[in-house]
Amino acid sequence: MEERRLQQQINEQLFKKLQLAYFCVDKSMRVTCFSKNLRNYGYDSVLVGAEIEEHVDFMIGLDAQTELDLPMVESPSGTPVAVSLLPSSGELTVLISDASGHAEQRQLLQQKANENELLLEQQHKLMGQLSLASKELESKNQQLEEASRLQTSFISGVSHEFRTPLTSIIGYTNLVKEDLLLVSESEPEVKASAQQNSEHLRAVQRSSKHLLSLVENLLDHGKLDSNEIFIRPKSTDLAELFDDVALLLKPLSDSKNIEFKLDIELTNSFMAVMDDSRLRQCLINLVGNAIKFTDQGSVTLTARLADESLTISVADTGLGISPENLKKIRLPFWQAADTGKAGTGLGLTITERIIELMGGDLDISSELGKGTCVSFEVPAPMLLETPIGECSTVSGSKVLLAEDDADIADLVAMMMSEAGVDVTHVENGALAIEALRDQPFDLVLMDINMPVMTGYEALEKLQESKNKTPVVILSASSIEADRAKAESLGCFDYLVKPVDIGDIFQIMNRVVDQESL
Amino acid sequence: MTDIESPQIQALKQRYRESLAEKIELIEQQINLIVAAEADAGSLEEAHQVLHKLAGSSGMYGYNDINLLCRKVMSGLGGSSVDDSVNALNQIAELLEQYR
Repeated sequence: MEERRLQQQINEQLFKKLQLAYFCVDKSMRVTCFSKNLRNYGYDSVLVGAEIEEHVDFMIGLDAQTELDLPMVESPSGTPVAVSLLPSSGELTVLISDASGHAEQRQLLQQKANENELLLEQQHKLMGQLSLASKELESKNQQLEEASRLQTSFISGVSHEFRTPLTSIIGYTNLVKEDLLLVSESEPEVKASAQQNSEHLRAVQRSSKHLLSLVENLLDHGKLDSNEIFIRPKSTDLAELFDDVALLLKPLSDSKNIEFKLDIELTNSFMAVMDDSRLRQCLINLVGNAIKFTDQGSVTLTARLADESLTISVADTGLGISPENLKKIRLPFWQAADTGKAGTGLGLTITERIIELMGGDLDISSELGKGTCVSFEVPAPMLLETPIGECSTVSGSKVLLAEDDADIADLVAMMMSEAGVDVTHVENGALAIEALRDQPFDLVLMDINMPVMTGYEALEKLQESKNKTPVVILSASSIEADRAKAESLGCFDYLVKPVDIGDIFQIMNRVVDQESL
Repeated sequence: MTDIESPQIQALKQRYRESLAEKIELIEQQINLIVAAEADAGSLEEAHQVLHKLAGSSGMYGYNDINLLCRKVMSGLGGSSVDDSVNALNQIAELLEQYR
């Protein structure tokens, strides 16, 4: 008994040091002992012998065998306490400790958790709003793209409709002008009237040509906007191209008494693989602009071909461009208001985009009153010419030629046969389909305008039957829409008659190159 | 590429040259048709087809001026009167005549 009392005293001192309160209950859940500091937590009614359930709420329903930790219990004094139930030899010791610090910590944690939850909720809400805004933007973007497509399509459609009658107007005014020239031998009065009419016709032609160039620029601009302009490299005689440009623009410079200088340095092999018609378009535009904005002095077209790269510059001694205008000059439809020179404001934009498509950058430097220099550098791979007879990829190839015009078919077939190509000739698209069903060919050369089945219809049939034989169209039509139609039907290439047989062989080499990839 | 033409190619070119008379006849037929049909859509379309074919073959045989004239006339044929169409076709026939 003495021992037990002593143990109780030791426990009491130890628990006091640890700031613990306690009470013990026997099997029948009656209090056998308790610490004095139990009162600190408001358990005033706990007495030895008392039934614990009646005095301590958290003990209701528990027994003396249960080991349990209750981390947070509100004591009668209001202080939060942590409770540990420790069963031992049929008795239960219940330890009670102050958990107010712990409670504060928990509260803080809870607060943080709540705040985190709130932040998460706000984050979700913001993400939802962002996603909604993004969808709205996407939809607006689609609407804008559609509007831009419709606008481009409208401009292209209208321009196309304008071009045909304008070409007629220019053509027929030419004819009438020629007729008027015949009147030159007539009586003086008639002659004078004819001269006057001729002047009027020249004005009509000038305006028509201006309109036509506007329409063509609008068409090109529309195509560039909808990515419908393609660069089609082919063997290009650069010397011939520069001569052509000079021949075309010399009369314009002569009419303004401006000197037009050509400074061309090409290597021995001046055959490059480039899109000659697009390069010509750029040069005509740049040199034409230079002449237009130069009233005295000269315009110099310089070209250097080295290391498979073509560098071109067009320098003039014209009006020059102010630094402010130099920033705006590349914008579509922009025109210098103070020069008094009419134009579409599209030429430079189109030229710049085409040069970009060819792999170059347009550089413009200018000084007001002194002149302007426009330059660019584009890749110009050299053409490695192989004599036809020695062309290993062409010789031995099997080519199907679908052409109803015997004159053309015989000539193409003969030239190809001489290069060792095995040519089979058929006269329409239906026979071409039949021939392709019977045997394999390396390439098909197909006319468009054929009886029984046109080239377009044959291309459709080949697409349906999933025949992958490359088809090259040989057409007399240089209309872009015809080319686009053939391309949409899957033709490998489109050549305009008169066709250079060397171009066909180059395409055959390309076919072999692609197949070997 | 070689500039020397084989006898077979030369023969084909000769054959084409000899066929120019037939081509002139064909154009004259078109002129008569246009006059008879008063340049209706059908007759102009047929003339267009003939010129389309001539443009293709003449260029292939090196007659670039015939090719260009055919293209020029083709582009203006759509909305032209009987006289205009006949005059334009006569121009082509005259050019062909020069090479006979």
